[in-house]
Order: sequence, then C-alpha cells, then structure tokens
Amino acid sequence: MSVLDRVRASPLLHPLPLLAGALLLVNDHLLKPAAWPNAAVAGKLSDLCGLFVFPVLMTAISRRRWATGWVLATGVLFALLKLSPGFNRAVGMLWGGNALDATDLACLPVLALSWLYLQRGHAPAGALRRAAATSFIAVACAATPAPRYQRDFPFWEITANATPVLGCAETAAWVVKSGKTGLGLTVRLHATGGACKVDLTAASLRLANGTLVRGVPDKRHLDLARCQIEHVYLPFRFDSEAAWNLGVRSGTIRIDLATGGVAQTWSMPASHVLRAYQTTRNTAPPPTPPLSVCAPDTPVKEMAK
Amino acid sequence: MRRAIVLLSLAACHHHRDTNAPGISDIEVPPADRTAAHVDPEDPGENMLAVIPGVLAAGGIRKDSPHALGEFGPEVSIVRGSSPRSHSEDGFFIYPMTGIGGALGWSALRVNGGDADLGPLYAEIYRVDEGVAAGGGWSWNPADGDHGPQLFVTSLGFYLRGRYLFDDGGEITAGLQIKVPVVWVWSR
Repeated sequence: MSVLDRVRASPLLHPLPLLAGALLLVNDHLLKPAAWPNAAVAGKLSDLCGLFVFPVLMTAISRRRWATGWVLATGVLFALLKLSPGFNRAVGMLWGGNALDATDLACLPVLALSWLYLQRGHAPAGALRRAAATSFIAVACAATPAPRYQRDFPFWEITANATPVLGCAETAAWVVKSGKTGLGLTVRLHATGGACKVDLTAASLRLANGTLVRGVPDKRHLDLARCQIEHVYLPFRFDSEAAWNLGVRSGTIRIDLATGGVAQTWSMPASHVLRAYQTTRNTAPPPTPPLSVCAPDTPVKEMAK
Repeated sequence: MRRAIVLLSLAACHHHRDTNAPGISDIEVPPADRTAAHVDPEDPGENMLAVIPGVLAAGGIRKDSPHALGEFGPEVSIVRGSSPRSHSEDGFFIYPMTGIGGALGWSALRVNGGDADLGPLYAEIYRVDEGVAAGGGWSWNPADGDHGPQLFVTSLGFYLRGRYLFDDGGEITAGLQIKVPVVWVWSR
C-alpha cells in the first residue's frame, strides 16, 4: 500500500492540523528567533503545535489503527527529549537543537486532544489535496527553527584591578576589541574628585611568554572638568592568533599615567578566553563597569545660602 | 527502511578544534561608539577535515550487451576544505563547501543482465566547489584484472559516473550516495 493510499481519508485534511502546522512554521522561523512575545512562550507554542500535529502526521502516513501508538510514542520521545541530556544531544545532531527543559512537559496534555481528534472520522479527499497537506505538515515538522547559535571567538578580558581610583580620576578599563591582530582597550576616566588633568605617558602589554607590546593611546593629555567622563582607546597590535595557537593566553597590561600631576602605575592582568565554540545568538554583551555618582560643582548661589 | 536511510544520511557528527580561533577585528580603529562594552569580531570562516564513509547505489547503461547495469558498493572519502562562514550548531550538515579530496571505493555488487558479480575497486581525487564535487580516478577489477579511467560529478547526494574499462568498454551510471560525514572543524 503506497503512502498516498494510506492518506486517502487523511486526518491531515482538516483546519486543525493545518493550522497547527502553519503555527509551527511561523513560530519556529519568525517568533522564536525574535523571542516574541518572549522566549518561553515561543518555545511552548512550538511544543504544543508539534505535539498535536506529529501523531496526526505519523498516523496519516502509516495506519489508522496505529494512532494510539503514535500518540504514546510521541509522548515518550518528547519526555526523553526534554529530560535526557544524551537523547537530547543525539536528536540535536540529527534534527537541530532543542531545549532541554523539563517545564516543557507541561505541554504533554495536548496529546490527549491529538488522540481525541484522531478518533473522529475523516472525509475522503482527492490525491492532490492529500499530497499537498501531507507535504506541508511534513515540512512544518521537519523544518528546524532559525539558527539559534553562532560562532564564538576568544576575547581578551581584564581579570583584576579594572576599576581603580587613581588620584583625582576614577578609572575603568575593558577590552572592547579582540581578534587575530591584537586587542583594543577602552580606558574610561571620570573626574569625580574635581577638575583633573590626566597624562597617559606609556602603555604596554607583556604576554606570558615575555613578549612586550607597546600600546599607543588615541588621546594622551586630558583636562577633565569635575564629573567629566572621557574614553581613551588604546590598541595593542600583535599576532594574537599565533599567541593563541602557542597557548600564550595571558599577560599583564601596564599603563603609566599622571593624574593631577601625580605619577601612577596601573597594572591589570588579562586573559584570552574562549567560552565555547558556539554561543547563543543575540547574547547581550557584558556591561561596562558602573559609574560612581558625581555631584557637579555646587552653584555659587547655593553656596551663599 | 526509507526512513532509516534518511536518518542515516542525517547522522553527521563533528568535532571542534580551537586552532586559529580568534576572529577578525580592526584593532587600530576605535569603536564607533566610544562607550561600547564589546565589539564582536567578524567571522573568518572555517577549515574542515572530513572523513566520509558511505554507500552508493546506482543504475546505468554500458556499451556491451546486456546494456542495463545496476551497482551498489561502499566508498570512503577524505576532504580537506573550508567554508567562508562558520557553521551553526543548528545545521543538519557540516561539510566543506570548497576543498579537495580523495576517495576509495568498491562497486561491490554489479547486476548486469540477471548476473550479479563483484565489480571493480577504484580510487579517485576530486575538487569540491560550492557543494558540487567533480573528479576522476582509476578503477581496477581484481577478479579479471580489467581496469580503466573513470570520471564523476556529484551534488546533494546524487552522482553521475562515467567509467571506461579496457576489456568491458564504457559505462555511465547515475545514483544516490548516502554518506555519514565525520568532520573536524577549526577556524580559518
């Protein structure tokens, strides 16, 4: 018996499974990537639609009397998918990623609706309509969601002493750029202690293997008014890829500066870190160090009062 | 059976290496937003080494009578290649879009005019470009010592092969290859 013969009175030819299939497609490809209305709701909607339509599809292409078996098998496989890390990984390799989330089991009752739906009779239909419905639902079930992962890259990070107060300036530093050709550091200077003159005299990065790299800031002399914030960009150009491949993945950044005429040395350990080969798309970047509250100069009138 | 074949064809696995892992970033240029916390590096793409065992099944015609021909056999290939964009873990397949490779295969079962015989072994080298592979090699049948050149082109699991055996003459076969790539991936 051919597949088309089996779907002669197809349970797929009804607005319910067709709507579920359409929702599955729209949700997987539009709503999930946009996390709309939020990631949890979009995830559950896919599970609800998939759980309803999958036993219907399998019944349509096999035998009507297997309907109960398909409903039960779908429930067992879904539970394994959501509870067993090994099974989830194996399915992920074949079919694309799927969240390992036990709360998704709350969607299982929809299988009862699917079973009830499969118990009703289904009107015969022409071969073209049957084939179109089967193809559409099969594509909706087989199609994986839009990509949820992207390549991650090693990134240099300051691991300590990133926010010291140096004389009249509250400072902060973070690696804003990192790649094969080096790293770029942002240095934030905040004159919280009144007007502050800052001179950046030298900057260097010493890698763990002893290599010394000079950094050249894009601004060297700054006259900061009280509460003024300035950002200085400090690139360190070196063969970061070669260092990575050699296993040289740490170093110390040293900045020599004078704040309010007082010489200071600022040392920060740094590491080159790769968290994973792939990361979730649209992950929010880490925040910059928080700024202190800075009260501007009190106006003369206020002082008189 | 058909579903088993479909599942088998999707059962790819891959392994990440962290060689060359840093991305591309113009270090000399300050970020457009001076207050930015992080500027994502650009994707340099990936290198890959794929070991791809599988089976091939085809039908075709040969010059000598009986003309109809069917064959089935195993093949294993190794491809060293790259892709301009890094893969996503969501993807079904990870396979070099560009590269060069070699294959060893055996047209193990040949059905010709109702007779089933062992077919020739073969070795091929080929080039992959935009997912289409083309190449050629030499086939040799240890049963009767017959041998000769062969050419092939393949894409999306389908292949077309022309073979000329000096005793048996020419033949053309077209069919399906089901392969399970095992891929080692590292950054360009």
